[in-house]
Amino acid sequence: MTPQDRLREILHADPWTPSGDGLARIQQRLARRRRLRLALVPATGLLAAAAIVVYVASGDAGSQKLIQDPATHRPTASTSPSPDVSAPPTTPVTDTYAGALWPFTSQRQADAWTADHGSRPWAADQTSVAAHFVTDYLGLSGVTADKACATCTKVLLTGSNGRTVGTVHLVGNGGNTRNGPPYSVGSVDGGDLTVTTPAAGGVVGSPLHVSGRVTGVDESILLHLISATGRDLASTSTPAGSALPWQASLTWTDRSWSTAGLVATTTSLKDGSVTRVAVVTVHRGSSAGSGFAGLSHGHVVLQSGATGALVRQLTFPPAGKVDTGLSWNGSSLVWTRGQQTGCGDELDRLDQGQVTTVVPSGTAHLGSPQLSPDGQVLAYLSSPCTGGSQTLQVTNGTVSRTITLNGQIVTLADVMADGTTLVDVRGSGNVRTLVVVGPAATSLTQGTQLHTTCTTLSGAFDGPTPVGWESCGDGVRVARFAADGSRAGAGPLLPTKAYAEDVSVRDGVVLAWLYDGSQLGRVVRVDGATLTVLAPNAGCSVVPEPAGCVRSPDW
Amino acid sequence: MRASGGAGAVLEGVEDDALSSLYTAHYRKLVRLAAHLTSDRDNAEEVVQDAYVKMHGSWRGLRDPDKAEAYLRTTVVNLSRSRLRRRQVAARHDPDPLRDTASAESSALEHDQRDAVLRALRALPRRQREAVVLRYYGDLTEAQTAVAMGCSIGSVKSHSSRAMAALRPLLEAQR
Repeated sequence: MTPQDRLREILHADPWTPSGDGLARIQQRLARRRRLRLALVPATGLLAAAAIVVYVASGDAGSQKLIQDPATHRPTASTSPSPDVSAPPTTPVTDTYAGALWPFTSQRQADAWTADHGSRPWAADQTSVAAHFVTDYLGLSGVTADKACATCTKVLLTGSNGRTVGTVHLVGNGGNTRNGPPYSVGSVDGGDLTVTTPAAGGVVGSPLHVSGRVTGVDESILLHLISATGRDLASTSTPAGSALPWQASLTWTDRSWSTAGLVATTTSLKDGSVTRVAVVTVHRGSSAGSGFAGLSHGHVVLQSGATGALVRQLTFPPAGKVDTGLSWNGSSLVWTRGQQTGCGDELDRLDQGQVTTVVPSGTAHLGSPQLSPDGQVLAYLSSPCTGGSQTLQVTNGTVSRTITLNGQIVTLADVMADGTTLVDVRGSGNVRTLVVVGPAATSLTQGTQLHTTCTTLSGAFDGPTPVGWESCGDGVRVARFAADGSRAGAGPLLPTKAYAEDVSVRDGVVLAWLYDGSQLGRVVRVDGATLTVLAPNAGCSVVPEPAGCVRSPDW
Repeated sequence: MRASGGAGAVLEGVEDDALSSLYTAHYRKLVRLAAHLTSDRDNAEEVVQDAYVKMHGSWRGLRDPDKAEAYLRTTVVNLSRSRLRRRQVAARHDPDPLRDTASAESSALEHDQRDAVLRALRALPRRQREAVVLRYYGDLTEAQTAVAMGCSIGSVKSHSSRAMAALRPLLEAQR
């Protein structure tokens, strides 16, 4: 085999396959162009008339350019978001109903129906399943279901104004053809209302960052997360329109579900009737079943979130280097890699088995890396090796922001998807203050301090809500704070009086690294009033943390 | 006005049918081509969708519809270049996420020899990479590659030769 043949073989051997919905996206864009063209025709006429007036009035034909030169026209950059990193890798599906939402989410449920379909006989008919889905699951009225075509498994939903509001995609028995009963709803295509994040079938946690697109102007997207059994888990609404990306965040505390539908709808301003509906199926990531990342013996490890046992080593620093900080959002990891002696850190990132350096090794200490829950925003502290002021850096990959800290000693506690950061300001005597620094702020002084009557706080965001590990006279609680920094309430008294060095919250469950003087403190998990020690760290020195000892946990 | 609008709609219908056929015939291959050219799968689909939208807009000016594939390919090459340029600008503020790290994770996770060749391919100068990707992935002749790249056949030969010289040690080691 010649080198050319080998290269040809390698280039063709790539198993990656595009998503397959490209034609729909192209057609959507073309439809938008047509609508825009129609809308612009009258406006263009007016502009042309105005231009002619200017042209005649000026009397300077040579300086006027009334028609844009096509050669100078450049395509506009597209801004569709990246695929959801939390989506599971594509694997052969043996359970035909694995991606289905309602009324069956598994082959086992479908088989049970086959064995006894005295109940829900309508599951044998595609149109009936879609109709029941609309009324029983979505709770919509005035929407009718009609089969889209004779042989396909699609059902069109028509609104009260006679227009299509969505297309139901059904899953049926019968392997790849999926054309045998019983039928279950897999998704609903909302036409020009799309949900791009999370991806269909994605594994999600609270808070859930949702984004998508919609055409039209002055639209309002209503979002509901509804469990497969029909419980409304979370809801919110967000303004949208003009084909610009919309985004919102959903949070929930109910953890007794595994499959849910993320439902996006728009309604008519005139009569409130539904104009579009889109549904994607998602699965809940379990805090108990998933792990947390921590530092152990100079590298990052993954530990069980249930038992605290070592799952595996995640990073492998070369000789002379050591990993000193990390952030883990459940699917992506960012960590600080520094010199064992000397200055000059770098920030590295692990996504789906791929390692990249996101901030290269330079002439600064880089500390407290924090990744937003959706993995899009990275924040970290930077201070020059030569001395000078420490700053807080926030970047989404294309836009970066520097926040001055005015000489305060801080650690960075968390960052949200919009770039809002939670900064832990350290005063004398281990007294700490949490400050929320908004997405447009450029100085710590522009932040909002969280008010507590207690002496020590360490915190994180739980969705958009700042929470703090609050140590008061009678003990420790997890407190919640309002947008203005006021204390909005607190959880039950916890069976410890230890301060927390580090806190992270996922799915309503708190992971904390407790302060223990000269020794490495315990890593604990707090769910309500229940405190479970995940890593006792008995007899472990602080730096360097020996093998078997874990610090700086995050989930 | 109504008559003219109706004719436009009919024409658009014909164009849409042609678009659908061209999508079925070429879309996947063009996406992979864009992915090889930009080393960025996330944006490869957008690049190709842009190309289809541009081609649709220029459909009436396309003298020979049979050359739509070549038009699409050239557009994909040009749009990929634009993406790379924008990424280079962005990289001044944020380093290229595709840059290889010298860390131990890289060697642990990217163990495949094929990955080594693809990494070397990504490290080639842009025109050298375009030349070999179009020649050996697109299976184009030197003349077709020259059209797609907007350069002479001699340049294609030169870029291909230099690229193969850089890749040969890796490729021969795997034979």
